[in-house]
Amino acid sequence: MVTINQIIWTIPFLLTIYLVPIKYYERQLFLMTCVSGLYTVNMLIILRPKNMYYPLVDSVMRCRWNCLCIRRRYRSNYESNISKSNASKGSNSNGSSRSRSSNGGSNGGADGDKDLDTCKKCWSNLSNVSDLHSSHSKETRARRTAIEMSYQLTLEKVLSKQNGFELFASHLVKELSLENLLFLVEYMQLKYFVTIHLQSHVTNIGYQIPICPTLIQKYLSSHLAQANLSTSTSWAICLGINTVTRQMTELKHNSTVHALQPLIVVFDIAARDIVNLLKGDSFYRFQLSSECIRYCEELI
Amino acid sequence: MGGCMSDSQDTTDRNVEREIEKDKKQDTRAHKLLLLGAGGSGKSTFFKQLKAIHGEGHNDREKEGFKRQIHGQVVESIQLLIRQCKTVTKDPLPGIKDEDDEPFGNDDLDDARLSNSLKVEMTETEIAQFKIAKEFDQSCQYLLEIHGSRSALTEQLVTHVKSLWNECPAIQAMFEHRNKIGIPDSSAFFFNDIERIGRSDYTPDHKDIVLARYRTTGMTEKEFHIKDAVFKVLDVGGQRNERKKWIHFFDGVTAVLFVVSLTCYDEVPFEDVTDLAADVTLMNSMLESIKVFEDTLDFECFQKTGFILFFNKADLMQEKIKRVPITNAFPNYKGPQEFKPSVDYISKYFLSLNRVPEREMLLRFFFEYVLFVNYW
Repeated sequence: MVTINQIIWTIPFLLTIYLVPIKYYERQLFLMTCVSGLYTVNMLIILRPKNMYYPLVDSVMRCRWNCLCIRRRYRSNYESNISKSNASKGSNSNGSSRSRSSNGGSNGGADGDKDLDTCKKCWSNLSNVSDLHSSHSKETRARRTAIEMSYQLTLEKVLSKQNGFELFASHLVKELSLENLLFLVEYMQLKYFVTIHLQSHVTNIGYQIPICPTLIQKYLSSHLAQANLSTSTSWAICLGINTVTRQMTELKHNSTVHALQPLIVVFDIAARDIVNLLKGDSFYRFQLSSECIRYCEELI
Repeated sequence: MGGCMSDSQDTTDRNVEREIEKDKKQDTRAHKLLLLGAGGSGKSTFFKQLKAIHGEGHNDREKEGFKRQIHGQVVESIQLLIRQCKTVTKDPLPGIKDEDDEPFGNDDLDDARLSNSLKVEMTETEIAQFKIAKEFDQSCQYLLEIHGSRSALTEQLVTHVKSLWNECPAIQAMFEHRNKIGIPDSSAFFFNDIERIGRSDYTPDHKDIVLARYRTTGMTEKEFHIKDAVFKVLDVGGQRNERKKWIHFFDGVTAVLFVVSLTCYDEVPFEDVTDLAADVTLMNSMLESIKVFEDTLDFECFQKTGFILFFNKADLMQEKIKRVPITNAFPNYKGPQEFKPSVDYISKYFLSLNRVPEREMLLRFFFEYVLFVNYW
């Protein structure tokens, strides 16, 4: 930008030299105007507000060209960073004067106190740069570890912790596939119920997914298994799978609990399929999500 | 103090509001494209291709995910092949015999139904070709006992899969019937390359990633910036239960990308897979695709939305048409059993389903994952 400015001002400068004879006073006047114009514009370019050097991500300013707003941003930055501003107060006087003049220029005659504020802000900003630099490298290191850790996570590990379970569930809500997880929770709750109340009727509890115990260990009425379902209802419930249908009919005709073991086997196949589906599709996307990385950072 | 807090709260409020406004602006700027289609038609494959070409590609972590999907596909496919072989030949399932004895082994009703249907469909000699020889018993047992199908391929697993795939004619014979038992075509590619895939330092290349088949559940969205335009593409699951969720994304759709697999006219839909006795003329994925397409066209909110029909797997169709005619799904088709007239018929059939003449309908074809405006 500075170079372009110099080139632009050189043209009238040279034109004046060639066109206006030496004896005219206007020649000096033109030359002086060119030089002062060149330096003024250069100064404005160099001392342009900070927000015009790079785009501000979380800018307080509504309009990035509004120079008056820069002060507000500086002040808010200053307030948030005042605690960190102890270090490196004596260094870089250049930066201070620059900031002062830039602010003075942009504010168009702000009073001394405010200028002092801006100055302090500048110090804190400078010190923060070094602070940020070291903390930034620390952060990236922690982040990298978290990313690696997120990759090592397994579905079982996530589900067995309350936080992880909730986070994964909210991820599934976003992806509209929460029903998979709900099925697993309900099925595990039922298995828990069976182990408490109907243990004698079941020899093998089958496949179990480690889900956070507070979610599974719910109180369920011990009469749950004795619920009277008509055959047609049980047919409607059982999805039309032959084996399940047969077991459900048996459940109606015979005693409730005799049909439990075969039912467990049948639903275990479904549960395994759902777990595989979650692992292969939703959980893989969850591992890549920023929420999961943040969760891992918290774990670290 | 209080003033300070309210000040910072105000700032946060303003920031949040601004972010929402920004998102809204971006949303209105983006063209929302919906990828729809029946299960297994190739929506996610299309999505992966888009990401590879117009997105930032697949990074190492994503590749690791695909690697696991590929491993899962290999294990699941081989397990399914073994199970189906055992079911057809009424061999007891070695791996899950103990726990599954009740529902499968002693299931008189199922057995009767199965054997009845098999008697109609197959002779003794036909059944005999699916008999897995005794020497493979150990491999079968080992493979059937694997439950966490997402686990990495071990050396032992690779050896078992390799021996079964290369040396066991029953598995190969069963694979020929993959259309009835829901095994993806690409599994053969992975079985043939099992040694490369099983290596510990294996990273899937572009072809592997595109060929990997995994069921999608729920919805994924991704933004693509192509030149100055922003496209927001939504990928969804295509199975019957997943289709109920589609209605949630129908708001403000610029165009529907409807994907149809050209080879699915003899494939049994995922939900109807039972055994080899399945009748593909009664229910196949093409009929399902047609039904889904009709239903989608009928939605009130799509009356003015443009549709782009993607006919996928055209290269596989070129091979399949030599063996199987499309009359499975289109009984009225009287043309020759050749690729061009068949595809012509299918595309015209799909276009004829549109009853709103002013709706824009486009046709596109995929050959080996490369998009063509026309197939000749």
